[in-house]
Amino acid sequence: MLRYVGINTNRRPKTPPSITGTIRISTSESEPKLQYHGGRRRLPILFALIFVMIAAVACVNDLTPEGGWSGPVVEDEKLFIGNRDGNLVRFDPETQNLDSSWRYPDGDGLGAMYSNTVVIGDKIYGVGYTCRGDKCDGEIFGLSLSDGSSIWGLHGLELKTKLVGSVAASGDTLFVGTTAIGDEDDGAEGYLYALDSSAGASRIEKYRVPLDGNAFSGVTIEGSTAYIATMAGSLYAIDISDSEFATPEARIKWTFEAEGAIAGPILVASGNLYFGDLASNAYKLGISTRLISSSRTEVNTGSGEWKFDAGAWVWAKPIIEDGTVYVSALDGSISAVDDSSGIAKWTTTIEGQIVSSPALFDRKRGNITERALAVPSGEKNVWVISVIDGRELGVFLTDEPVKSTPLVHNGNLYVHTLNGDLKWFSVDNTSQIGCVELKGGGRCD
Amino acid sequence: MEIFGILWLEVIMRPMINSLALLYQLLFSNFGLSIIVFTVLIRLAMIPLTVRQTRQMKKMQTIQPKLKAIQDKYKGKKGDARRQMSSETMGLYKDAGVSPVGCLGPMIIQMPIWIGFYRAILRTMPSTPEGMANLSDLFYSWNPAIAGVPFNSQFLGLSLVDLVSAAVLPWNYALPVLVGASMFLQQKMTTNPTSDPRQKQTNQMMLWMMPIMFGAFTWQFPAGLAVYILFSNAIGVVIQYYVGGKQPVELFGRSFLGTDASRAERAEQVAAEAAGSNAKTPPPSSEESDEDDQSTEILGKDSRRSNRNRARRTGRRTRRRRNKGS
Repeated sequence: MLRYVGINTNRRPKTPPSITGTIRISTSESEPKLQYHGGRRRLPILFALIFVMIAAVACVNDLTPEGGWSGPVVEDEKLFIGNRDGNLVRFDPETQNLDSSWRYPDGDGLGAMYSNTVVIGDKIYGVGYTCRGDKCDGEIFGLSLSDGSSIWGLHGLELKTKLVGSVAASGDTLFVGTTAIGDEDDGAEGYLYALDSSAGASRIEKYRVPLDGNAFSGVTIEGSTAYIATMAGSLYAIDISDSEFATPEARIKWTFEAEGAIAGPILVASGNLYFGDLASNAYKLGISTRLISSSRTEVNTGSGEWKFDAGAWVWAKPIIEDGTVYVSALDGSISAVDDSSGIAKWTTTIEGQIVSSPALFDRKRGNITERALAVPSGEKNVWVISVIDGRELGVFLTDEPVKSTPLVHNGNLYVHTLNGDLKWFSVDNTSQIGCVELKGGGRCD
Repeated sequence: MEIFGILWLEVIMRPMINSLALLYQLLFSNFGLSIIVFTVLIRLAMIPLTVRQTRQMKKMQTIQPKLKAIQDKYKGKKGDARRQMSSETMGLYKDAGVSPVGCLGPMIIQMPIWIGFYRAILRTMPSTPEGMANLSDLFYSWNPAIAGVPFNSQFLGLSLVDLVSAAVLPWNYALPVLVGASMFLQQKMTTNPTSDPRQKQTNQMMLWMMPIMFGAFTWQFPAGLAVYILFSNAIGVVIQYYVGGKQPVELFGRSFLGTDASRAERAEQVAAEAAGSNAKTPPPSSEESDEDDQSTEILGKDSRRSNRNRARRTGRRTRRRRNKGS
């Protein structure tokens, strides 16, 4: 089920060949403009039509994940970004170049990366996957921050599944959410895997907890509890302590059934959980309330929990600051919701989907500093929105869709655009400073 | 080009996706049933096109000998003769009430529907995160099914989004065979008998090649699309049976279905075909009159009218010749 990876080349599916051709229209006076020759000519026309149909169908491939949702993560003044091919690359803001000696994997990428990498100590962890038809290959990687070498030998840990959400770690144990595994047929649509990330581990898989749906949300850890959600709409609180449990299922402390599928990540802050679902809701659940609450489907408003109608699917992780929760939805709306009451202070809308969380930053204009949200748009650009009233304050012109969370670092805003570039801007005047292609490292200014 | 993209999205994709999702909601959260019911609705909506296509094909079939005669008449000639041939060909089409692309027209119209339906199935049950996120843009805001995403893709032990090749036994083999067989049957019912050996060869090739090709392609289709094609073919067979006048279907040398009258009529046709193929160069007049008789039965009102007109013209020409002679 879970094993060390050998050398696995050619992970990316081949691009379907393009189909070209010409049509000749006779304009000669001596020839009739349109002739029909019955069945003899009908045959090739029919076959041509069938091939056009098949080509049209095949050229639009919905089965191959594309990724490009992985945002930059900063550590030791270096940026780590999962590019669209599924390679993790390192960018040096000082030299404004990709570090050619630091790249994982060296050759073909893992396919698609949808979540940010996670830095724990001197290691960086992440996931990527690709699918050929309905056969998926996922890899969990753990790398040394200094040289990019895999902590598990040659490569990472391979699972025949889709790995979408980000990993989390507690001590030497790494937690990752999956979809169903390869040809396994035990009824589980997803799992929470607990993996031993220590270099000399004799057995990698510690345990796995079956889930009722695909886990796209990633894992969030608070104390000795891991929180993970599924596309079946369930939120799980799972005990990850070292205690002995009769079965992996016995680790489940409680579950909550949302109205819709939970696709996005879960935020844990001040003893509360914040997340959205695909029934257009955002939720705040109290961790302590849930431990004593008997209802698996109702929010306990008397204990400070709430459910907010966002008006559209909520995929991006909510963010919270100073008693305000910012909920972004796929219709481009952003709502500032009062954390205690669950009532919207303001709502504004940008063009395009908001798939990843906005970033909070200080926007300086002369002597005035204003707190603002940098909101990535799935159509194009990163919009600057005032946290006070939702006013549009400006725009970082990426001219490309953005489905990753921007990073604000040292007065610059770094954005991984969906076409595979890293662009950075001045947060003060929103002007572009530079651009580098994350695939090859070439400049795209 | 953008306008085509918008039209494609708003006229085909979004209505299809929302209908599929709504049917899913109404049909006990069963996507297989949703696909089947939607296929029935699409085929019913396309009945006028199917009828038109069937009539056009039959009309085209009946004028083949005349068309061939015209082509033979001008074989090897150039210049004005070619123009004359073109004019005669067009005249023939006009008289018979046939559009030269009439047979292909309805098929071309159906193509976007087929492609759209395939795309709709995949987009309604996306397998990638971006596919899922993009789905939110495709739903109408009033559609109650929007909160039910992702839809359950299981149907009779089959995952409708997965490729047929990855399906469990016996589906992985049964579906391509069923698709091929249903297509063969439909093809068999739409192929008109002919005495032209070349046409016969073409028909035979199409009869076998199309089902084999589609059967093979089905192996790499998502199972949902295979279910759609299978039911579309099955419904097509039923429609064809009634539109084609309940003609008997001949398989492996035996006749199935059909009424007593249609069986008798078919037996006559077979006898006529046999006679036609025995006579190497049948007299044009008798062939023509046979054709006219046959076409009058098959073609319906329009063609009968054009045949009457032709008869009147022939009568006028004969009278003129007689007058000149006298």
